[in-house]
Amino acid sequence: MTERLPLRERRRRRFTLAGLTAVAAATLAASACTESFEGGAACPALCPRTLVAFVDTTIEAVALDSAVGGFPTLGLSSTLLLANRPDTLVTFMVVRFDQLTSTFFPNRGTVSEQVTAIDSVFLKLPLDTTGRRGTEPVTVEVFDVDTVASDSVTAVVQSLFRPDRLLGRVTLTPSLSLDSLRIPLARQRLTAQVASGGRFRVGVRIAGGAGQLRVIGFLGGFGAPTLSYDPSTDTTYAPVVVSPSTPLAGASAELAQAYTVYGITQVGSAPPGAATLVVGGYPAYRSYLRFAVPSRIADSSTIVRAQLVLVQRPSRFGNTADSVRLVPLVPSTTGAVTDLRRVLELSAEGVLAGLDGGVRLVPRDSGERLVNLLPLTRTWRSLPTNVPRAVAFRIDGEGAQPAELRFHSIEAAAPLRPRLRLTYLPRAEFALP
Amino acid sequence: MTPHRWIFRGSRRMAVAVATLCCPAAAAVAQGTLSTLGFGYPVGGGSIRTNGTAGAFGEFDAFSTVNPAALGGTSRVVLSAQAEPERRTVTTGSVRERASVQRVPLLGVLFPAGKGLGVGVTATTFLDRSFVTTTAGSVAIDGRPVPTSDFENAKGAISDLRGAMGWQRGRVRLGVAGHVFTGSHLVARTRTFSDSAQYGGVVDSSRATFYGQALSMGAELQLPAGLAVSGSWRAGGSMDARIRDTVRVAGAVPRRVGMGVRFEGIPGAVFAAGVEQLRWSDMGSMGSAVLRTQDATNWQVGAEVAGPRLRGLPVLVRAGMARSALPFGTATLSVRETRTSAGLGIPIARESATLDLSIQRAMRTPSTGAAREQAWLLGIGLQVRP
Repeated sequence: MTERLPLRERRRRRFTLAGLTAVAAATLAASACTESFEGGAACPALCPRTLVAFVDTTIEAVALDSAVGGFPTLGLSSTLLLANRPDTLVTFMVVRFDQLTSTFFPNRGTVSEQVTAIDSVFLKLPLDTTGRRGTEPVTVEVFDVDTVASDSVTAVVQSLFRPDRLLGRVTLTPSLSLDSLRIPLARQRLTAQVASGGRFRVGVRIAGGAGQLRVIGFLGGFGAPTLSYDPSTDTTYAPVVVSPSTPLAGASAELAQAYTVYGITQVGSAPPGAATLVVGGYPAYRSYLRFAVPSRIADSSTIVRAQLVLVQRPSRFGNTADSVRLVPLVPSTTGAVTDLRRVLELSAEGVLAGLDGGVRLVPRDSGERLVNLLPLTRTWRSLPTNVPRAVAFRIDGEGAQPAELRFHSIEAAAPLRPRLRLTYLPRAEFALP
Repeated sequence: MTPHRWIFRGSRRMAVAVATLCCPAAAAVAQGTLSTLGFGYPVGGGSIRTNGTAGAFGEFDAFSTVNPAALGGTSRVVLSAQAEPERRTVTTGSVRERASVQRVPLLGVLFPAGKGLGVGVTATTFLDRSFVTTTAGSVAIDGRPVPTSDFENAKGAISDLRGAMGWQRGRVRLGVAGHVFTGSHLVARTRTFSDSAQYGGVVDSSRATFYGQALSMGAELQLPAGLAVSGSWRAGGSMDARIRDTVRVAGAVPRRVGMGVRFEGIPGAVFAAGVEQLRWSDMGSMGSAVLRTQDATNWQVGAEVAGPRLRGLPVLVRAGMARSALPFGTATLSVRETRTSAGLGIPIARESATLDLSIQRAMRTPSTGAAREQAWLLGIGLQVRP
């Protein structure tokens, strides 16, 4: 039997054991703490470092620039400008209703009947009522532009806007117009076409006054022009509504869409001319600029500021006093695509690459303009080498308004050429103290 | 309340208090420290036993990396691991910034090789450089100052991997060791502009790796009357820093010479003192123009006494004091450090294992300037003799 220790000794041992356990536990707890090193108040005295200076430079980095016209692509504009300003801009519009039916469902029933008589024919044009429209009354005329001649030729179609083909007209004040325009048409032509299983193609223009209307021509969604008529003399019957279409035999869907609702320009903006980049106008131009940035900057530095310096020239076309946005686009095709028009068609909106929505400029102004390209330039390092470093511009409301902006191109005198203003931090190794 | 319950409650309060001291909710603000200048803080490579005496027993301790002669006469296999969290406070004017750092500065194994030979392999932290700073800055663009916010995060260390052998014959111990120094520094910088619409931020990083080697040797002589003296010398081999596998700078591992004296003439107590000289300027060529290296003469005194017995074995109580010069400063300042220390050596599992605890209070003062740095360095180490 072991000898029992005195109470005092047992207490002393317990105290020692507990104390040591507590010290060990506390030390273990301290060892388990997470790290935190945050500091900085003693800087810069205790933060010696060799700083690399930022470099400011402005370089003629634009290797190629070009203005490409004919935008928006035929049939792909959501809005068409119908204008009659003979000294500046005259445009027409064509809407094709190539699929007419000879039967209908009375009052949306389930039994079809033959169309026997046509009455109350209307062409309905949805309007974009934003922006400047004009306060003088204008007359909108609708013509039969169906022909067996090659109507993909603009001159052929233009020749069909003549009095003997007039189907209807309406006079209105653009600034007072509502969100759609309903133009009554003569019924004889449509009756004949429905009876013969033919097609109905109309041309629209403004005559009898200077003004403009923006017609929503968007297909595949709400707001496209429509043709409506009563399929019977019975006025209780609901009218038939026909949407635009033009099934072209052997043509692509893209081509068919191009010729379903499209515009024709009789009088438009002047071509860019020498040493000039144009953005906008009618038909609109887009401008493309390709850069060649030295690799010491593009690949071995961090760019913290990138501004494209453009020197604006005054424009005399359109509403020269109204500001308009210069919208950046980001070409993303590889060098394998050499057709600039195709490159521009496939360009992404600049906001998708983090660029600003655009710079507002007044067409009649001139001088140096800055466009922030920082988000774009910072993507260049990660781009495949076969993707050109480039930016493009379009006008806001392209196809729906005639404003244009003009800039000097790389063919201009040195101080007027597009330039790239960069601030960058050359890459440095700073791990060593 | 029974004494047992009182003891338990008191211990719990103590544990909570210490844990709270170490683990604050968050640092008050965001390098700017005296200890992490240059290539970092010289952790010392001492065992927890050595740290408990402020480094005074370093020349006589088999696990400390300064004197391989201490390995002579190793009679058992010993495994050792330790952790050393540091909690430091930098005071600049009225601003105090706190940081906590975790270190595992020593892992090692010793084993006897017969005929008085002892072999040891250890891995220790040689220099530790970890800090984070957030500062307000300014950049001149187009000749105009643009405000910035600068964030710098540095994490890195250089380790000392040592293979050593010691031999004892009679009163004499001799030793020799080979050292490989290896490690890396990773520094990340982020600079953001207040005008983020016009200026993009900069995120950049840089990494350097280090490689060096050295040879050290030492001797220890047991004198009459409980006295012992020892001396050690490290010959610095080359050391270089590489960035992306290219040698950018080269220098040498700092040379070191040290000596110590130990007195065991009083039963139950051991006293030691040491002094060393370190040629940190051997690394000077590896730093930039803004880095200042200074050679250091450091000294330490300490004692280890037998305390209360635990299961028949004494708990060792340690204390010490040291004064050192930190190796790195700026062009205009150098830093000195004074440490006071205490520690315990607690036998656990009889003689098969020892738990060593240490606590050091370090006061770091610059030669110029208003900044002060204070630090608590805790240490916990376990030695197992299977």
